[in-house]
Amino acid sequence: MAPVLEVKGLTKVYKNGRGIHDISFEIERGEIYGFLGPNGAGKTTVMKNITGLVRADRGVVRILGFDQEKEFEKAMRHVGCIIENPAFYLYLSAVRNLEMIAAFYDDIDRTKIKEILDMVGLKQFQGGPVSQFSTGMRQRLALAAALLGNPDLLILDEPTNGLDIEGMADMRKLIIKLAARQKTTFFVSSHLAHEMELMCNRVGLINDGQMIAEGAVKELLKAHGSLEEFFIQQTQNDRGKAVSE
Amino acid sequence: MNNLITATMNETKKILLKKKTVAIMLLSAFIPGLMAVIAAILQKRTGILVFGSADFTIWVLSFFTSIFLPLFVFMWSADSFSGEVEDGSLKVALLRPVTRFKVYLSKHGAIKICIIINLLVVLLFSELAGMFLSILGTGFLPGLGRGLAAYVLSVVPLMALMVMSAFVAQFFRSSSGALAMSILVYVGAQVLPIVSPMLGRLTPAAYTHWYLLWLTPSINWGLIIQALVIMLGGCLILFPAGYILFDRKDI
Repeated sequence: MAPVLEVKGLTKVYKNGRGIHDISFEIERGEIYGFLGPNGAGKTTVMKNITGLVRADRGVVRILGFDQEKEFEKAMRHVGCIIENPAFYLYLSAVRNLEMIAAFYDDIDRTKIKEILDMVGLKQFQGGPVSQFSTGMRQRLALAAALLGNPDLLILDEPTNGLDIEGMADMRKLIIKLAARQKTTFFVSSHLAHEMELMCNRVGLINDGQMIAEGAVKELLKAHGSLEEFFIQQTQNDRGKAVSE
Repeated sequence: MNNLITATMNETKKILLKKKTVAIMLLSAFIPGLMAVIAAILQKRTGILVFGSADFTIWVLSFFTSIFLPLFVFMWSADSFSGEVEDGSLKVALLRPVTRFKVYLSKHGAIKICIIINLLVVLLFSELAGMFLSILGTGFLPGLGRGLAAYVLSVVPLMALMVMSAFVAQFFRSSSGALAMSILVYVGAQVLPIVSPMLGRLTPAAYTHWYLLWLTPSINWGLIIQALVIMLGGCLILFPAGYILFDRKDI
């Protein structure tokens, strides 16, 4: 069976010289795959390339076996995502925004939209314009939008940004629940190592646009104590290699 | 195909639900009435027939196609393309199971629908205003057939303007920049025939009064075909060129 997400040799260099180089990894069904790296490491660029917001210079992305570039519609039918800041039509209400998104998928009626708004705790704000929403509310609405099409793969770029402690815990619980019950696959980025430890099965470490390590969270914790420690070791190794070269 | 229809419906709703568009439609309904009142007052006080029979709707159209409609088209194009890059909302459409070409096409389709709705509003209210002039005994007869033909024909140059402004918008990441540049290009196209009549005839933006060529007693088919070829030619070059830029855009 094809992996839910397959990334091979993904490379994108921006005009300013920054970018990502030869990124490769695979995510299997039901996994919560964390993408850990500092700010500016290239996490968002990888996610933008996977979802077609940015055109890669090289590399292949397959979602459920569909080539993202050649079969974009088939590939994206199975994907829900929050990339960078939550994006909405600010002058429209939460319900109207979700209705527009729902129109691209089959069998999503107003009841389902209301259920999802209820699940993310925005039911009482459904009629108000999104421009009046706080950052946390927009983040929760973005999650509702991502979940709307019953996706097999959820790509979440720093999903706890703007959420309070309770909101962060709720988001984590929801991700773990969906992965366990519905076998939804998650590709989640964060610069917070502890957050990755709490919810991910596997992590990929990215620094300066390059994948520096990958592994199962349980094993990495057993061997190194924490992901933070592992990350620091890996980046120091990289620096050591660069100096010796 | 279904996704294209969905995307077009979404884009149309987005434009129509903006306060700016509501204001545009209200203005389009109000101006013909205002023009009719001014015409009636002038006619009554001076005794001069301001509008000949059935000219009012076409006169209103002429007024709209010179200034207002191009401006509305530029605003919609700038908001739909550059404006959505600016506020990040372009991602809402691009992250759905719909190709960039369909998103690009749907934005064009939505603006076209809004142009047609706007023209219908202007036509309806200029006819109503015309009836008002007629009731006042101004000798005016609202000629729906002639007026309707002029309004239908005026869609063509407005489409050409829309394709041009959508192309211009691809170079900007803010709607105000795209709007300003579209206006500059349009003003340039209006001024060019004065500076160089031959070059002026070659710009697709110079034919906003194309429908007038059809309304003369002896139709000049040569001029009509020339204008049509230049407008279609402009669209055939600028539509794919705009798409290439839209497709390569990193969001």
